[in-house]
Order: sequence, then structure tokens, then C-alpha cells
Amino acid sequence: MLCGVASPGAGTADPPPAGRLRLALLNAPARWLVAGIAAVAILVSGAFGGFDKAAPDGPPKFTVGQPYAAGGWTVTVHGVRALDELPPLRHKENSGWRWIVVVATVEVTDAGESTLFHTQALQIHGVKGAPAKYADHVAGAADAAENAAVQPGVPARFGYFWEQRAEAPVPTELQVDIFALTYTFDNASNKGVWLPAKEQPAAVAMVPIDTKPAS
Amino acid sequence: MVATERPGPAVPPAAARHRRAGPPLRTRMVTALLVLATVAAGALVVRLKPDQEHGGRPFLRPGKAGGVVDVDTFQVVVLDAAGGTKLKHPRNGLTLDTTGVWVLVRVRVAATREPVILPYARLRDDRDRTFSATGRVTQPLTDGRAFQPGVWVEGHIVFEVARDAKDLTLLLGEHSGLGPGLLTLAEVPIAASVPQWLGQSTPLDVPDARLAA
Amino acid sequence: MNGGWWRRNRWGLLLLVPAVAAALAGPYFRDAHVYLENPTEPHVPVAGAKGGWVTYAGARMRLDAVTEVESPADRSGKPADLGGGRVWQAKVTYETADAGALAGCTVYLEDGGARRFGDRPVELSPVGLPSGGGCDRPRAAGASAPPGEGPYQRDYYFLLPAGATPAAFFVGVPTAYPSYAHLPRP
Repeated sequence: MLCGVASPGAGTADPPPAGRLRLALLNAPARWLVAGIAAVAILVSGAFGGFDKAAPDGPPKFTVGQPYAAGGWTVTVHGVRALDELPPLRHKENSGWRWIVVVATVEVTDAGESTLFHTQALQIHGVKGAPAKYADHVAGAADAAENAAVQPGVPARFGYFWEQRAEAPVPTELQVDIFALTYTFDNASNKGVWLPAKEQPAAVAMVPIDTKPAS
Repeated sequence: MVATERPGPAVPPAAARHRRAGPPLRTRMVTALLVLATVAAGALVVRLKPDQEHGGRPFLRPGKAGGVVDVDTFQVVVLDAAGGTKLKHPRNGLTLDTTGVWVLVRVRVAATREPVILPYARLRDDRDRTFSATGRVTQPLTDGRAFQPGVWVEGHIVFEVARDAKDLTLLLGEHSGLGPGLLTLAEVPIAASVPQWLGQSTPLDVPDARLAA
Repeated sequence: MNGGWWRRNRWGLLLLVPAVAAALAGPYFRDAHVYLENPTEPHVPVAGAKGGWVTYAGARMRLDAVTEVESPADRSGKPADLGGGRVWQAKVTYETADAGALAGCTVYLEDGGARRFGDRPVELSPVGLPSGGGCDRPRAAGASAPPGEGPYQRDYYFLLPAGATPAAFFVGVPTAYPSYAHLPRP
């Protein structure tokens, strides 16, 4: 508060300019004030991105067989299969489950670090009786190795295995979501971590399910 | 600031109350400028202060291939490196392919004071990309093996690196995780010839670790 | 802003120096305390006389003997290749009323240079050693056997490089850190 402005003992007819503004504000109708505050709020929100173009409805579509760059990696979804058994992988129970397998290649393209988070690159929707959010197993297509990191610049082909109850029907197609994770430094744990860019998938597509038995 | 809030001795207190209700405009301007300068200096300090990623970065103990690198809790000698596009799985004998190139770094390691495990093994390339020891095979040295003080163990660390990687450097250390200590790493350049290894398609063997005399 | 101002505020200005120093250094003292006095690391020895009992972590313990295992052989009977290292066996007697007192213990054999060696290192796996480890009472044969009473002995095996001589035995239990038992060799 500027004490000179508020002084009751100034004794002059015309208040100084700042005082005039204050008087004007005090005498203005309440709705002007509300409108003024709203205008300021809109301007401030604009300064922090409020005027940015809104995202179009739904995430973009990816094409099967085409690389899709999402966050720190590039993902190529090759196809989806439904299989009862595929050794050496084992179901969580001896019977009553089948595999829904998304075959995809992951390459770390936009980070200089290996990642073990490629297991979170894909999710599926539209399959009854497949409860897991992330794949139950993610195994190397060539050697079935699990828990092996993807190295930067070394594309690796994986099977993403979801367990589906055998009594549930195999749909003709399902929705595959590609998620973008990026490599950032986390101050809390004092090390680099892979974090999802946002809750929404970076890209989605409906992919037909191949039900031919494994050759 | 203390002085500016006192009325000057030349002006009687009563007169100050009636003719001017505060310090002169110039003093107020100086006050405002000092406040602005403080805020600006604070913003500058926040911006210039090293961030935690910089402050928490590992200590590097550089060394040369063939020489003993002393990293407080352990010592390491990098002997040589081999590479190729195929690897024989040490457990089941299957041949493993890669879209990159396999690199085997042969090292000798001994602890200095008490048993240590060395789970942090990376190869760093010219573009600062780091490749972790591969999880596609069981690692003879870095999968939880405890090294004893003064007992030298020789073995290989297996990496899978990008085909365009150049100037590989081995980083090896104890992972301190969330503890208060910071990470100290041996940093040893290896004689890498990735282009030459790309033509090497005889499957590489991963021998068991053994005690070095 | 003249000489009078400095004179009036001289004590405040003087005190400002230690105040700023304390404000800047305080957080580092706290960090240093965590680094130097880390209570999750064993660094306070509870020592006994040579071959004597030590009371630690709700138990009593004594180092009975440390002996070298002569000419260790691999499973096929040939002399084991230990790169010139020597195998040492330590026998320790424990006594405790609380069966869980020593759960999760760590043991080391220390040499004259205070280097610590781990029990049954992987390098000794070619040598057919009796299995074991830990400080709990050895389980009696048969699950229905009653828990034993009184003191019990456990043995440990270590690989020391040539020239290293055992000097003491270390027993640490995480719940009793930063203290650890230090048993000199008899």
C-alpha cells in the first residue's frame, strides 16, 4: 500500500492519478469488476497455453507394419495372433487360458539409455476375459528372453502375451494402443526413469487377429 | 532500510505528519529497485544453481585398457574386447542373433576391503548413448556375483550395442541405489572396431569366469 | 545512508555474518551426519577378548577356531584350482534364548589388514563344502524334531588370497546396526 495515496490528511481536491484509478474501481458496478477479473484470468491462462489448439478427438491411428515414433521409442506393430500354447511360456494355470499375442518391434530412438519399460509400450482393448492391463509376458521373438533391456539403436522384436480365458471368444480384431514413454531424470530417486508422457495412448489401431496355429 | 523509515532529524516530527505522510519519492523508487534487484538475483541463482542431475552424477575414475583402475571398493583391469553378430548362449547353446552387434569385454576384477557386487556395467559410445550389460544371457560377472578382496576373477561382460556405435568406453561400478552414497565408476575406453565385428558371424562363446593367478 | 547508519547497525551487521554462514552450512552438516554416522551401516564394534564371549544382538557368541583347509579338492578329487588362494574354516558357537535374534545376519572373516571376506564365495563352489551359512540354530533332521536348546556351533568357509592371515570374525545383524560383533581369533 502506498501510504501517500491513502493519506486522509492530504487535503487537496484532486487525488493523485493512482488514487483516481482506485476511486474509479471502488465506484464501478460489481459486474464490471467481475468482467475485469475474468478478462485478466483469460489473459493469464493464455500465457500458460490456454489459447493452444485443442487436441482433436481421440488419438491418431497407426498403421500395422509401419514404425510409429512415440516418446523415447519407435514401435512397429506387426500383427496379432491367438494361440493356445507357445512353449517355453507357461500359463498361470495348467488349463483354461490361451494367449493373445501382439508381435511388435521396439527401438529406443529418442533416448541414450536402455530401457526395461518396453513392457508398457502396448495395451489392448476389446478382448473379453483378458484381465491384464500390461502384457503378462513380454518375450524376445527370437530367444523368448524376458526381463532383457532394449538397448538404444538396437531394434528388438517381441511377443506381448496377454492371457485370455479359454471360454471367452476370440474376437476377429482388437484395439492395440501404443504408449509413449520418455526418459527423464527423477530428482526423488536421483536417477533416470522412463515415464509415460500422458495417460492417453499416443496412437491406436484396430488389428485383425490371426488364429492360425503356430507353425 | 532502517534509516529510511526514520524521519530525518532536520524535519520536526509534527510537520512530517502533516505535510508528507511518508519518505520522499526518490527513496521509494530506490526501495522498489532494490526489491526488484533482489528478486532478479534470486531468479538468477535458481537458474545458475547446478541441478540435481548434475550434482548427483557419478564420480568417474578414468583408466587405460591393461592397467589397474582403482575404484575405492574394487579394482578392475580391462584386458580386451571381442565382437560379432552371433552369440552362443552359455546355458542352452542356442545361437542368438541381434540387430546390433554383440560385444564381449574381458576384465579382471577384485574387491579391496569387503565383498562387492558390480551390477552397474555399461558401454558408452561417442554419442553418449549407454548400453547396459545384456539380459539376454546370464552374465558371469555382473549378475550378482560377489567379488572377494584380493581375489582376482577374470571373465566377460556381454553387451548388445548399436551397429553405428563408435569409441566404446566401459563403465563399471557398484549401484548404490537410494543410499546416501554416490556412484563411483571405473571409466575405461576399449579398443572397439564395431564395423569389423559386423563381418564376424562365427558365434561368440561366453566362457565361465575363473580365478586369475 | 551515511556513517551514522553503519554505526547504528554495526551489531546487526556483525551478527549477519555468522547467521548467513549457519544458514548456508546447516543443510550440509545434516547431510554429513547421514554420510558419516549412517545407522544402517555397521561401524561400531562390540569387541571381546581372544576366544572370549561377546554379547551382541540378544545373543552370546564365541569364535572357537580358525583353521586352514589343507589341499582342497574339487568334486572329482583333483586339487582345486583356486588361483593361489587358500581356504579357511571358522567355527563359531552361539547361545540365545530368542530363536530369531540372529536372523538375517552377515558374517565375515577379517584378515590382518581388516579386509573382510564372505562366507562360501562362489569361487569355492567347485570345492565340495558342507552347505550352511547364517547364524541361526542348525535345523534338526526331520521337521517334527523339537527345537534344540543350549549353545550351538556353526562353521563357515572363506577364500583368502595367498599371504592373507585371518585375524578376527565379524557378525552383524541389521536390527542391531550400527553395532557389530568383533571376535578376535583365539
